[in-house]
Amino acid sequence: MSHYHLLPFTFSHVSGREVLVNEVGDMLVAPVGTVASLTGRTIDCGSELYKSLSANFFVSERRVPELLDVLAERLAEKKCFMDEGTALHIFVLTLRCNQNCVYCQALSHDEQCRGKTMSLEALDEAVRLMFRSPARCLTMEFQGGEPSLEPALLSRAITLAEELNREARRELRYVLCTNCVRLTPQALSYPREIVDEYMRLGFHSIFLRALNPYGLASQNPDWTAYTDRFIDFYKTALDHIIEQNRGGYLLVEEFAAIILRKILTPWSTGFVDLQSPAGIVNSVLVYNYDGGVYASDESRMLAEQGDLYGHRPTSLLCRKNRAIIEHLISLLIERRDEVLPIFTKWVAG
Amino acid sequence: MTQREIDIRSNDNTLFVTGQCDNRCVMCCQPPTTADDIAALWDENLRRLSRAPRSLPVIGITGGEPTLLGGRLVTLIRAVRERLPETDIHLLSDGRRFADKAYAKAVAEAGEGRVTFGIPLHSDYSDDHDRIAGVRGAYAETICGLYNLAAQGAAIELRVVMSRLTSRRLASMAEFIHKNLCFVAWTAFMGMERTGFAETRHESCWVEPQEYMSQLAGAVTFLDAWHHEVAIYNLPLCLLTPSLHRFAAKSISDWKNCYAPLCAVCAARQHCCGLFATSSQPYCGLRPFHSYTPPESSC
Repeated sequence: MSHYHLLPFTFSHVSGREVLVNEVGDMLVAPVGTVASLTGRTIDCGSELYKSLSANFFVSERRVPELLDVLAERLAEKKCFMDEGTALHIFVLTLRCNQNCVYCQALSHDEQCRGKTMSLEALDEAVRLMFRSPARCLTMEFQGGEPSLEPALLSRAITLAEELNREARRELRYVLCTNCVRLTPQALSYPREIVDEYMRLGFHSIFLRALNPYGLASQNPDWTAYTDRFIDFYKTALDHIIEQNRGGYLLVEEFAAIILRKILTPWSTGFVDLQSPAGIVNSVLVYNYDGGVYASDESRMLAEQGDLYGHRPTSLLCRKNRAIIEHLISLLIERRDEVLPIFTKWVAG
Repeated sequence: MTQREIDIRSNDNTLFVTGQCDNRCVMCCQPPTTADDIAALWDENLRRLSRAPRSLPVIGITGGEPTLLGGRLVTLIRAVRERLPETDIHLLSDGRRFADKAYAKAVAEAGEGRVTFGIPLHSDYSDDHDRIAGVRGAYAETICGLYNLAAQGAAIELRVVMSRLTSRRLASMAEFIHKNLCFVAWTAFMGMERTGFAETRHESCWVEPQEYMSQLAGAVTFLDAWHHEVAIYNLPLCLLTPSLHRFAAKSISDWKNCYAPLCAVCAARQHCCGLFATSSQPYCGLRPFHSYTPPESSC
């Protein structure tokens, strides 16, 4: 069978191999040159590699694949988060804050300042708007600034939500994003120690997350350097976490688990920041203290900075995520037998 | 051929509905016939069914290819449901006719949740599957049939017969099942019965379990890690890697089950599926266990 048609896929080079990813996120690791041999029609159509490319929806021997409906079903499953409706609703109650952290990404203001707190009218409207989402589960995330500086608003929002929910009957969850310990750049020098501390406290889950260049934090002189330092931190910490898992202690790195679920399973994920189509509106809405409604937390913070567009080719978020995803794929290639059982356990439970 | 009366003491009570088949599987252990036998077998089966004990746990429907009965298969399943309301039904089919959505719905509905559909998959690659099934386009119809049955909420036993033709891609198939057929109730990897075409074409079909054991271990371990149910049929314990023992099922029908002379002293005998009495020769490498502790079974 030498006549075949290419189906949509993307590819990249990782660890000296060619990594092909199809329309539904299935990954195939192949020798470098595979894509060239596919497009140049020089691939051996009797080879096991060709069979795998055909079985996994990279090529089709018919113009319209025989299993098009299967592919459609797979795509529907992978994107079923789209059916849910907006689930995450972020309420920026105030920009006031009792701290002034150098790493703050939310552009906080002085605790005493005025005019940076949500009005009662805006709050009530925002809660009502939230209930217009069709999602079965609604998460109200209170942010700031420091949202606990507005206890009256907090309690009003929750009271109103509970009241409206008597009729709406959704599953409500609340998240309060409140002050953290005073973090300093030195934290990045202790990846193993941080992991060990989590284990000492009996945790079986850790979520390693980078800071974002918004708000006060945007004044940091060199975000590129920070991003690269974070990537190194992440890799070292992840390696240490894998070691602990090999030693028999189950410790899940949640960011890796989200990405691995995308790579290794046919199932959908709910993490708002890593969706295609993007999580904006589909998964999240942000109600700002001033009554403005934003499609994402990031757009709210960018708007505060006056930059509505960003620059994708130099995006540090992309740089960071790409580095981590490539690192995970390279682990799957170079240390497959060692990491695959651990990664499977993280995702499958 | 007259079929045995249904016997509650047997682990294999089956309604054989036709010797004809629409596949031409190259390793078929029971090669298809061409005579029109459906009407004669129909009467015989209804008579056997009418005498079947109501406490029968499971009854098989097999062939040949039972879906060649078309609408009469639906009638037969209804008859089984009526006569044996507490009995599970195990239907063996190549699944191709279920590519017709209406037919899949009719059969699944007639079964009222009691039917398990045992359907073989020969490869994740369409051409290989078609070559083994002996029919061009069989793969697409079978996969489509599996999806249509799943859409009806049917319980599916996916059957992978391990022959020389399939043994190289067992690991690829496991990944394919995880990604594309994760709705099946369980996957069974099956050793071959050396009779029929499997015997006459043994040079191209036959494979010793030792040759594919590492592939099989990889496939089974992979599916199990993702919490997909998985079982191994027809392979004696002494040929399996120890880590696979907990997946081994006593799968061979009692009327064609036997043990080799050396099994007489084996400590694992009572836990082992044994061999096919119908096979022209047993597997290579059989050896008795001097002591044996059964693993916690997963099947």
